Amino acid sequence: MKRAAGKDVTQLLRRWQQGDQEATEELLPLIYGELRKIARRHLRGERHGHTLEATALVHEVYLRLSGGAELHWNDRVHFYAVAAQMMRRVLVDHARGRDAAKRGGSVVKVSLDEARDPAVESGPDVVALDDALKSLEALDPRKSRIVELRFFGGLTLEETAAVLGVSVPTVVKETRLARAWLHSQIAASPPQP
Amino acid sequence: MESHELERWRRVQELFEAAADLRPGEQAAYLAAACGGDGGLRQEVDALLRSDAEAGSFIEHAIRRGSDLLLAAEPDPLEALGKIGKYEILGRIGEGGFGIVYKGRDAVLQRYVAVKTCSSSDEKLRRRFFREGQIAAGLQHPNVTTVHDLGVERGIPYLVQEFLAGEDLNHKIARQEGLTALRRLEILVQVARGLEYAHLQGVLHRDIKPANIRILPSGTVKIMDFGIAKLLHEVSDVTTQGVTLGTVGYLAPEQLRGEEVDRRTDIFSFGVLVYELLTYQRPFPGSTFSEVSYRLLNEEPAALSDLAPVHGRTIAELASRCLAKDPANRYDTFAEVIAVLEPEIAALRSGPLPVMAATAGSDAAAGVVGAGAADAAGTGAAADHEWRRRRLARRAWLGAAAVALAVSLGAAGRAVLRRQAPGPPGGSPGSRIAAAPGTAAGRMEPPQAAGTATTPAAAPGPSRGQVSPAGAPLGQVPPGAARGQASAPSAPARQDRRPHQDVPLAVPPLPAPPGSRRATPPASRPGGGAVAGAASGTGAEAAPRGDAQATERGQDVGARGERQPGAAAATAEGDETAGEPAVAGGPAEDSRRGQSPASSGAGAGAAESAGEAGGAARPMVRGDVIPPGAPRSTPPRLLSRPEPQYPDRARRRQVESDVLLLVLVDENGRVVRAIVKRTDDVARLGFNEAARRAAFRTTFNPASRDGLPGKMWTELPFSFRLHPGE
Repeated sequence: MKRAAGKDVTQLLRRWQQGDQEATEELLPLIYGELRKIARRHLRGERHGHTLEATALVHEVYLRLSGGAELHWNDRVHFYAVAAQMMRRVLVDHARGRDAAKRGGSVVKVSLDEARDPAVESGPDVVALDDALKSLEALDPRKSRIVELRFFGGLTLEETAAVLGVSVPTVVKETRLARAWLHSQIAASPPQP
Repeated sequence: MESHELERWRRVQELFEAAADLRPGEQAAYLAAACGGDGGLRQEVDALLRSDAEAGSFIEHAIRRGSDLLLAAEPDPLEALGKIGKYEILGRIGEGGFGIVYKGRDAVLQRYVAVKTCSSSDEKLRRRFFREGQIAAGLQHPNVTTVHDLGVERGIPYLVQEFLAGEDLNHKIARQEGLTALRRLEILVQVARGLEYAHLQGVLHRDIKPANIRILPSGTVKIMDFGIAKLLHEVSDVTTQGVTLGTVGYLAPEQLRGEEVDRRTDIFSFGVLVYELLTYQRPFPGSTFSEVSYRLLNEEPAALSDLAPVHGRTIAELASRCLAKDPANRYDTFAEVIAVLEPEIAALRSGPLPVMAATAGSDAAAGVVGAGAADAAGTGAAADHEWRRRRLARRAWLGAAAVALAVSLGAAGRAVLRRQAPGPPGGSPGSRIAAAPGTAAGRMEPPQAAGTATTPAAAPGPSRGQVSPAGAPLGQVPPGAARGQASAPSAPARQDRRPHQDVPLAVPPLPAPPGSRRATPPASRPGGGAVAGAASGTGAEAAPRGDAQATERGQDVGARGERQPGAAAATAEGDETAGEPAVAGGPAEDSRRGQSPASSGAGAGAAESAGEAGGAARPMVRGDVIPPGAPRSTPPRLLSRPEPQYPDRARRRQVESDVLLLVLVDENGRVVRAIVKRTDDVARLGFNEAARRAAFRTTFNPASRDGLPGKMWTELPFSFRLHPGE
């Protein structure tokens, strides 16, 4: 009943707690893998009408990967921070891959679920958001990071502030600006047909 | 980045922040002054301000679209092939928990098949799927789905089964199909036979529930998914209401606790099936996982003899013995179950024609309603309504008592409750009407038949499929019509609706009769006000059904009104209000509560019960149980988790394990309940206990709804890993 993978994660989390930066790098693929796995499992009919929010995914990955390890608040928040980055990567990779498949002419099935919520149905997609975030990162990395943490990772204001070492009012202020900037950026460059 | 660009960006931010909260008129004036002649700067800030107003939740929406895409669009690798093994894929039948079920065609043997795949990425699961498939393939019985083939395609194992037409039992139950009493027992005995056979082969099902029972057009019953179905729960990590709620009500207590299972586990699940098929109600109802599992672990279901009196005591006792919390108090084998069912079936086949609607009246024998032939149908409906009302009150009262006692006394409280229950069923009213016309005649109820393994006296064919007095073929009688027919011919015929009740039975007393919370006999029911008073503050179990009951009740009253216009109808309404139990939850119930005298006495338990039921009818109160995924809610978040103590026995054997708990986190962030949801601890080395101990020392940020902290169930995993050198 030994599990190499589970053991690795526990050890990585321990090293991470001790401030080992390499451990973070090693954790990334694990988190990425978990996210994909969970997403696939949800695909297999376990959704029952619930939309799986990105933040719920991150939470689930956390519970799975941190099983058995006692993490301090700070470490937990940093875990979420890393997972937020991964979440963004998983979603964007998938959406880009799907676009590529479209261009290649292969048939892509579109689930009815996608058309469930009109507000969600229209508007910029996650790829456009990712592009705009990259532009924002070049201009103002912290604001880009705030968006990633809060929206891809589901971190609270307080947690976001702690990760970035700024005050909560700063996070509030910068979130608003970042949101407006991203929106204006996407509005200015309509998506390619 | 160039420093002047940074400088400009800093300036844009300043202007945006300064202008953002100004009124539009002030904004323009401010920006005109602040930007001076820099039109480009002004444009940039204006664009940001416009976006600020329009952006809304576009980021959240974009991300949600992304995750929907991820979840929805991954194609199944096998479907694209159009063929799995030698089977041509014709289309999807459904999606299982770890794969897809296809309708396939065997071109060689010219027959349709069902192909079940396991495309999970979990290697261990795929191996287990294959192994379970091998075991299932060894089962050959008329009441067990036949496995034709097992294979692996592109690394994905698949199981080929006979293609079954017909309908799953859960659909019949959902539609409340009007099945005769006989038909219901015939379905049950076939399930029992299939399970008996499998158990003799050493195979447990572990997931008996209506969705896994298929009724073929011929009437044959097939148990589906031996071994496979259960795998699903073991891999399913998601505590969405859909998954667990649909399943948790059929698990045996020992399964819920993550303890060892044996064939008596299937017997418990079978008991739930019996109860549900005979009453069309769940023995452990609830709208949340916590509610259902609490009832299942702690409460006795409402007595089946009240809900489906047509089946009489023998069957009621069969159900309650199957549903015993302690496996030791259940039947040992399905042979015993069959030995109870078969004589009942034989008696029904040869006897009169009891037709059972979804809910049959219980009042005839109790002498509540004197039925004249002329309005027999109407009385039936009214009686139906009457007993339902009574049952609600009774269940509500029992619920209140259980809550009060359990809270104050714990287990002792339940013991008290049991003792307070009325005496043995033999003493219930009507039980001595042994020679009621048309019931005793032709019935075979040999004293040794019940509860023993004697071969039943099977009834010969002729009476099967015979035509009921009114001319409708048995088994196709719609509930409404059935009720009327059963009571129409003459007064004695009303007795026929509950023949079993009237025959002295020789059933050995049960060790600890789980059905002993048998409710107060209808005749001795206290007055409406008293019932309502006692009921107030609970009745959460009724809440999820509130709507349906209100509707039915409305129809019943209407029917009664037509037949008895004027004063009689008014009486019916008056009755209705006076006897209305205070039921927390359902909107229909709530709207009535205002008019009901019962509502004034709502006790302290009301808030808690309503919260359990997830009732949306009243605002959130601190400490309510919040259903997972409730609107405007956030789940509990883990703050700290202590290292669980490694079990010594496991350490000596160098065994590691994972345990997934379901914990109830209270409004203070403390764990107040912990149930093992999944465990690797098959050898029972103490991991489960260690995890539970650690769980109670774990702290959370409590869940909240509408900004108020409340209780919520969440998952809490524990991994036990040996460190090097240990």
